[in-house]
Amino acid sequence: MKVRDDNDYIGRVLSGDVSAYASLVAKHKNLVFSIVLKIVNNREDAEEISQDVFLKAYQSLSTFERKSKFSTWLYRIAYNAAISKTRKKKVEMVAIEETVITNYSTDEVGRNMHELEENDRQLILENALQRLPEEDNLLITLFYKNENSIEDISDITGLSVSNVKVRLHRIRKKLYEEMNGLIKRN
Amino acid sequence: MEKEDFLSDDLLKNLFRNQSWESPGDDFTGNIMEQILTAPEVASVKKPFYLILRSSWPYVLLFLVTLLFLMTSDLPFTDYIPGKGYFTKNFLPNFGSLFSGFKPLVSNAKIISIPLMIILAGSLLVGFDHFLFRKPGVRHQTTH
Repeated sequence: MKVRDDNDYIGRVLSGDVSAYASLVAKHKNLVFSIVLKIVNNREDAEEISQDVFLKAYQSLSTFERKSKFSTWLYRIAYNAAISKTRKKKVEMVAIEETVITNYSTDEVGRNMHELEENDRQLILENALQRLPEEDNLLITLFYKNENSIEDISDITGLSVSNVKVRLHRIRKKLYEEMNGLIKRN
Repeated sequence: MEKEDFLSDDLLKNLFRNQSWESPGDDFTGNIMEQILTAPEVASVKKPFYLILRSSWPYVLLFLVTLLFLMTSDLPFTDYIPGKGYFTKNFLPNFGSLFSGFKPLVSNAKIISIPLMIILAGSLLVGFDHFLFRKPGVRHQTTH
């Protein structure tokens, strides 16, 4: 069976087949919802904002120029909607100072993690992510979980490529620190 | 390079890979499609008047009409318009019948000449300003 890509569906929607939009929603709803949820931290708000995101994307579909991936364009709308909903501006993002990061070995954290059951590993990762600022949680999830490139993340968030790199470097260190603390406490 | 370590962190890649995405409610897609299908269709969006005024074309048109009017009239001060003599001598005779209707409208009405000259100059300046400092066009979308 031929797998249709986003541009096929977009073409169909623009030529009047509105029902094709349901396929785009079904394909991207989990990630859009997850992006928004990570920022607003409330499922009801996240669901409402995510619906608005898809409606806005539908209304603006004719302006999507296909220079970037549809998903990147859509996630940018989701990111901006969530940020504006929480009245948070990008400049207000909490920067993680290098000074608060203590020395520890990432290898040591890795070894300790490997000794745990998969469920426990996931729990520790989840708890460590919760301890990060919302936007940092989102950035690192986009990079490692969704495997977005640094350029994609730059497009989605509006941060420069170099800024994304620096932030990912710092967030990773902070995440290891949190995981290390959680492992030791358990 | 230590700063680029995050690019090849297999531990985190594996950990994240096993994480599941959050899902919205079951009726999420249905709700969106319902809103899209029941939304009133907007056939076309009329261009707001202020956007028409922000275009340079009304000022160009105003300038040309005013210029033509002044060129073909006998109003005072219009002799200062560069090229009027040439226009009157070479072109007006050919279009005499076309523009002859203008003259009686304001003949000898000196008071109207000054506002017309101001309109001429103003529309020229505003038109130039719009033309020279125009921004990339604003796309007006039509919702389906």
